[in-house]
Amino acid sequence: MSRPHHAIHGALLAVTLLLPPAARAEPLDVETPPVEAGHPRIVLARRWGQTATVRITFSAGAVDDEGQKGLTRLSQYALLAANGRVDLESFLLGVHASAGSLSIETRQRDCAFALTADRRDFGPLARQLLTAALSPRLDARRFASAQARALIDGLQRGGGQDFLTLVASLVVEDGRYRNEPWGNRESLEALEFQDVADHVLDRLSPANATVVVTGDFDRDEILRLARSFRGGQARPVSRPTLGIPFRTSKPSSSEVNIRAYQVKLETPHDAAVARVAAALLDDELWRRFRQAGLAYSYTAAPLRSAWLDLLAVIVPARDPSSLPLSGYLAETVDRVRAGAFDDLQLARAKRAAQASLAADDRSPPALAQVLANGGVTWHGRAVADELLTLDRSALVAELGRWLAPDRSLVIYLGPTP
Amino acid sequence: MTRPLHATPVNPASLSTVALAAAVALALTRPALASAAAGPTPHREVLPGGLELVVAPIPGAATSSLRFLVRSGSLRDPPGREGMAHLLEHLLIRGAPGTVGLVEAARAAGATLNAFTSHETTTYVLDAPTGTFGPLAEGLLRAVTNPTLPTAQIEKELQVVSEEGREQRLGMFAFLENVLYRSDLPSGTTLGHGASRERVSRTDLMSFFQQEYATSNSALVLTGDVTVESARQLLERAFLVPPALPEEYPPAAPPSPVLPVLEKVRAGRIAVMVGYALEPEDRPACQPLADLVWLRAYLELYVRQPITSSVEVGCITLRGADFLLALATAPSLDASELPDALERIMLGATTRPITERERRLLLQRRQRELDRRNQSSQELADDLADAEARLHDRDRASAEVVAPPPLSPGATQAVAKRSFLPERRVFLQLSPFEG
Repeated sequence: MSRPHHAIHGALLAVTLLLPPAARAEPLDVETPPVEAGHPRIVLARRWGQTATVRITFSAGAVDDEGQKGLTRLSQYALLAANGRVDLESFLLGVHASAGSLSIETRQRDCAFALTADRRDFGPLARQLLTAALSPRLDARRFASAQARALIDGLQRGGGQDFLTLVASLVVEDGRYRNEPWGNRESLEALEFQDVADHVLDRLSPANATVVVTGDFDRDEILRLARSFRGGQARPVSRPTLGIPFRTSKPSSSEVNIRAYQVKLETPHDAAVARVAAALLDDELWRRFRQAGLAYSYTAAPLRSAWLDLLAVIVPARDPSSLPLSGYLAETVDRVRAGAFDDLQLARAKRAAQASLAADDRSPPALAQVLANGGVTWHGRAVADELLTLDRSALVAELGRWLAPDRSLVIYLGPTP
Repeated sequence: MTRPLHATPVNPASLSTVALAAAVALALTRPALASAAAGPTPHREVLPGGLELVVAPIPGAATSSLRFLVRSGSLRDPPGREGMAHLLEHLLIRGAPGTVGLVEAARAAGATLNAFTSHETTTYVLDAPTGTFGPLAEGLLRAVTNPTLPTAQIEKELQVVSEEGREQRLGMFAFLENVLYRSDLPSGTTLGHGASRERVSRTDLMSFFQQEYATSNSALVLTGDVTVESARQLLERAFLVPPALPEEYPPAAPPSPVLPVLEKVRAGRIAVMVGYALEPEDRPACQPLADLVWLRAYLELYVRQPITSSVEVGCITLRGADFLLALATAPSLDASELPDALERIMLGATTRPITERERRLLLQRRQRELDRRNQSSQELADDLADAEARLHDRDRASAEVVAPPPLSPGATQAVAKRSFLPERRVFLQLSPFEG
């Protein structure tokens, strides 16, 4: 005969909470070498392992396309497929042989290349990508090849949309925020080589780039290489003004309830509060939605970028007839805002935040992404230290401000808006 | 939950992939050609109680993993109670209601705790930081081998499954399986439907558990910073299903797929799947062939003349039958030549010999993938669990995970003669203008 489940699970939780925090065992060190004006910013996080990742982010995206939708996306393809600095076939086969991956991402205010490769192949592949992206020699004769690739993306509706894109496209008054990051057939076909060449020279220049390298790589070689690129004029990224509080309903085939709160994550303390807040919200969603049979999946997460930070709660579930789900979701958030959680819940949330930090630190692609999104104030030893010292009163004070109704964006997607 | 995309325990990573959609423009994944890299040597044994134990130690691994596999899924649902195996999976992983449970403990530890029900198997998944793995593994094993199933919890979980059904989308592989075995699929998905689930009682669930979760019908895979001795101790403490004899759960004979497949379906996107059902003796050649087809398709249809937004080529096993399949998607009718191109490249792999350059590329990739897989407790556990799920030749499947066989000279031509035949062909096309 076995012990009752609740006793076992209570003991189980006690054991997991008594173990040292996961983040304490991780390196978490992040290096930001000084660079002069006109060079890309550099962020390095070296970890032992099988792979390494380089992520090159430019502070230009669909908003900067103005009326030429898809210009940034097409420019990215031109950097790969119409560039005398790189042999695309050889490069892609090198990535393949390394069992690696290459992604081309385009959002509203930024765009990125991310390469992950085996550590034994990483150096030459990273050099090819960095050289192609930061020291291009665009070739008009191969422009059609770049255009064909961008067109394949541009024909897919909603391409490049992520949650920040969705929210900004709904909430920001500036119409450029409704530009499709991947463009469309008409706009992409109308673009000419010179449009792209000008855009690359201006917006996709080294001065507007950030190079993040993570994992197992030759630090000195990468640093030397990254510092060799120079050009362009840095353009600061302004934060859009959101008309908050905001509430809207949009037609959609499936129902999703979204509540987001505009925050500004500037310090390691902010990062720690945001991570614990997300874990507390996650805990409440589990208890009040999943355990109660109201939802199958749900998300609570801080979304960090150079131009917009949100604390978001997403529940893809329908309104049962007996319960207005949107109000129940607001009530759930309010419970966290009011500090209606016990010490055990808080300990669990802090532990989960530390574990999340550690998990990011162990994965070169994930680490590169979080560092590109928020730098050392978003991930690193200082954040781990803040997580250890964060106390209830400081947390509740911040939550009271962050989760206030006047900062909220309430979005309902469903068949009957 | 149900496993996305695949209807049977097929590891998505076993497909050689070029995914050019959404944020992932080029995603290149695992091949499984001949073994090149030394990895952990899995220990595999059938315990006296009937349970299969597989342990692959990776000393010092930051994460350790557990897969508890029950070779029973939705095909064992009683008529009229479709969805029962999946509902039971939901209930077992939840632990007791109203208490601080397994899920909360896993979340606090930063662990992944999950479960999947396919037509043929149910798999429980734990990936946890090594420091917290022991207590969590013990909690999970206790939960899934000694259910309490309070009635109130069953009612709530029925609502959760209903919500899951609303979120679920049938993938191409699940669709193919439905086409191949249409005669014995009552509802098409593992979830059943609202009415069939509502008929399931607590007694039904306990009876299903006692019958299907037999030790002789299960396997436990442990990878990461674990030892055979610690695995045995874990089982002693936490595995609560009574012993069974192998003859208490005789494997059913695998059904025969309905071939050939020629389906054109109306859908909001364009996707093409072409391939062949392989004769059993062609299985060793499948993955090397898939990798070669993938490499050529990638070069021709994306790198040199881009007409596709993604192409995947791989080997999958559906209910004991092996398939070599190529799947490509395209955003518009500009890709009308895609089906013929895919078919030509696949057939060409058996007539146009591999070049030295191709051989070198594939070998390097194989070494890198195996090295990476052997350092990853999660990937290794997934592969070993997939092998254990191949009921009718799991000995060979397990061996292939450790040391995939090389492609012998002439093997590709033999595959063409035996398996690349019109009567074994699979062709599926999704398009807004079909069906």
